[in-house]
Formats: sequence, C-alpha cells, structure tokens
Amino acid sequence: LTLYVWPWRTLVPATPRVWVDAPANLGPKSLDDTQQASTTAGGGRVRAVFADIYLLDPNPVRVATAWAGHLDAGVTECIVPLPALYTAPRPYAGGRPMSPGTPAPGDDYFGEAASLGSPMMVATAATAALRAASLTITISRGSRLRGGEWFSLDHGGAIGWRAYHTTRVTDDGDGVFTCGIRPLLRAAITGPKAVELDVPRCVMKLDPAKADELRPELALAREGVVAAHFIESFDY
Amino acid sequence: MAAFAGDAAARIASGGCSYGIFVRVAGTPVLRMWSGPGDYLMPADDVEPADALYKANGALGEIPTLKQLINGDADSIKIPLSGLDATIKGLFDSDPEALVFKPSRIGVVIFDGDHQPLSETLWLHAALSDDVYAVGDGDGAQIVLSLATALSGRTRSEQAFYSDAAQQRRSPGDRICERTARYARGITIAWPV
Repeated sequence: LTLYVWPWRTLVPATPRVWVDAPANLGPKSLDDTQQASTTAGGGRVRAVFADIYLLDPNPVRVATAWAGHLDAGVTECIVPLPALYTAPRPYAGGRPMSPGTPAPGDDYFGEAASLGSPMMVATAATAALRAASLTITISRGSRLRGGEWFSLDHGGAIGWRAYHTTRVTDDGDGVFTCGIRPLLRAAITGPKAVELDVPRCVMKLDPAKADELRPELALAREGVVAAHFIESFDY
Repeated sequence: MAAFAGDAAARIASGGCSYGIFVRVAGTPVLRMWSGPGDYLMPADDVEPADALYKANGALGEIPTLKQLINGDADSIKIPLSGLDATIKGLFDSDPEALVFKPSRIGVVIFDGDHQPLSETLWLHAALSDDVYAVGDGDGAQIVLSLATALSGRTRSEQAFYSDAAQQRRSPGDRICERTARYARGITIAWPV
C-alpha cells in the first residue's frame, strides 16, 4: 500500500499547530478547589491542525478537493510533513541559520517523497527500546539541539514514519545529545538510525469529526479557506 | 487482591498519576488492547505466558465500571471499542465466536513520569467474555465487548434474529427461517409450499 505525502507545498497553512495530545482524566474537585489529574494516554499521540489554508488559485482548490476525497474522512492514512523548519537545528552560514532553498521538485498532487532541495541536517539515533522516553542523537551536520525540535524516524514496515519532539536535552559534547522525547518511541531501534530533521513527518489520518473542513467552500466559486485536522494513525 | 507497593504506591498517593489499562481476551487469536497509543510490550507474568505485544489502535473506549469491578459488585461490564479500526473490526466481524466465552482479564500498570512501568501488571479482574455486539448510531458507532465475572454465572443472553441469514449462521442448512422475510411484507403464506 502506497502512502502518499500530504501536498505540503501546495496547501500551506497560515496557522499550523502540531502537538502531542495526552488528555488527562480529571478527578472530582476537592474542598479547596484543586483537581487531581491522571492519564491513561501513555505518552500521547501526535496531532496536527493545519488551519487557514487559503485556496487562491485553481491548483490548490483542485488539490484540496482531490485530497478530501482521497483521505475519505479519516479512513485513509497518509504521510504528513510537519512545518518545523523554523525551529530545526539548522547549520549556521554567515552567522545565521541556513535557508532551505527550493524544495525538491515532485508531484504536487500525490507525491511519494518529501525532502528539501538539498539535505540540510544529518543526524543519527542510537539503539533504544520500544516506548523509550529518551534517545541519544548524534548531529553530524547542523547546530546543537536545545529542546522542542521536531524530528522523524522511519521505523519501516507497517509502522512507517513517526514524528517526535525533544523535551529536555543534555549536551554530551561532540555533537551527541541525550534527548527526552514525546511521544514515546513507537518501535525499538536496533542500530544507528537516520534522524529526519529537514522534513519531519508522520503517518496520520484525518480527524473523522472534522474531515468536513477540508472540503472547499468557494466564494464566487473561486477562492476559499480550508483546514486539515490530522491524528497519528495506528493501523498496524 | 494484590496491592501496589513501593514507588507505584507513592505515585498513586501523589495524585497525578499516569497508568495504563490492559484488556486481554484469551480467544483465538488472543485479543490484547491497552489504553494508550502505539505498541506496548508486556513482560511475561502469570497471566501472559510470554512477552506479548499489546495494541492500541485507539480502540479501547472508556471502561465505565472499573470501580465497581474492584469492589467486586458488578456482574458484567461492557467495554466499548471505539474507532472501528480495520484490525479490530475485522476480528469482531469475521469470527465473534472466537472471542466469546473466553477467559478475559483487565490489568493496570502504574507508570512513572516518563510513562515507564513502575509496577508489574496488576490483573484486577478475571471474567468471561460473554457477548460481542455492535452499537451503531452515526458517528458514535461502537463494538461492545461484554465481560461477565466467572463467579456470577450470569451471562448476557444472545441477541437472536429469526432471519434466514441469522439461522444459517447458527445452523447451516436449516431452512426453518427461510420465509420469515415474507412475513414482514405482510404476505400470507400458504402451507405447505
């Protein structure tokens, strides 16, 4: 089964929100109005809301219509590149973070790959167990990790691409960083594994309750605004 | 009932607690689900004979009567499995018999701040899965797994439909319900035909 890449260069959200969702189960309020919370979410799952995608010419209108059909209101999985380049540990050139340049050409409608024109950051992750909450990442090209950076690992097989972000980062020197991560590792890593920092991505589905927001409503049959609500998918 | 001890007990006492709920139905194949997302590798214990992978699939709905279960006064509990994920739905649709009247367990694991297990799995409840049925109302479609306690002996009566399709499933080749569809349309049936 081919997973297609969400048309990240055509349907650009003005206000994206990507986060790890781990809802709390709230207990009853106590006498002094505090409320205890517990969670059964086990580290949470990745969610993304791409709001305010402006469709201003025929091409994005077609792409949005095609994808609203392709994703079938949350039945079909796809690979969603996350807009995280601004906070990525980009290498410095001339005292400022490098610019990514033009994205690699590809199919704007149903592509199968996502990458920058030329890879900017190179990193590897060391061996770790399933559901590990921390990861040792070696940056061989890029700047230091500080915490809060999104990255992806391709776990292969049915699990595929999964997105994580760093939490607390410890600098071990020589470009090696021990990073807390959320969500927890979806599959064990058995050897040095490439860490995707250029275009972090995740296998996701539309939120079925909000799938309708991707279907364009066009003013004067020309322009409109759509939104895509994604939830990490676990069809494996 | 075993109790949590040490770090796990301290964690519960602190109030803000992370834990996982695990459901195991010893059907064919064994159905393993847990409350969080992604895979969970359960180490072998007296319930799991070997290390086993628990699946999430976002499938495990609320467990409404866990408190009653702990107190032991519930005869059966119903676990809604939301999401109607393809894997789960396939299991229930293709062969519900494989999951009915099987020993089932509900377990709890207390996690630390990094969601790593602090305790062994505390298997709270032993039951028999006595029914699997679908409840569908638009966007709230669910499959419900009913678990009855082994002690109560009270199991849920099976929903019966006297349609030909249902009868063929119960007893292949039996033609007794062959003409029931015509009753619904108000046709007077001449016997024998």
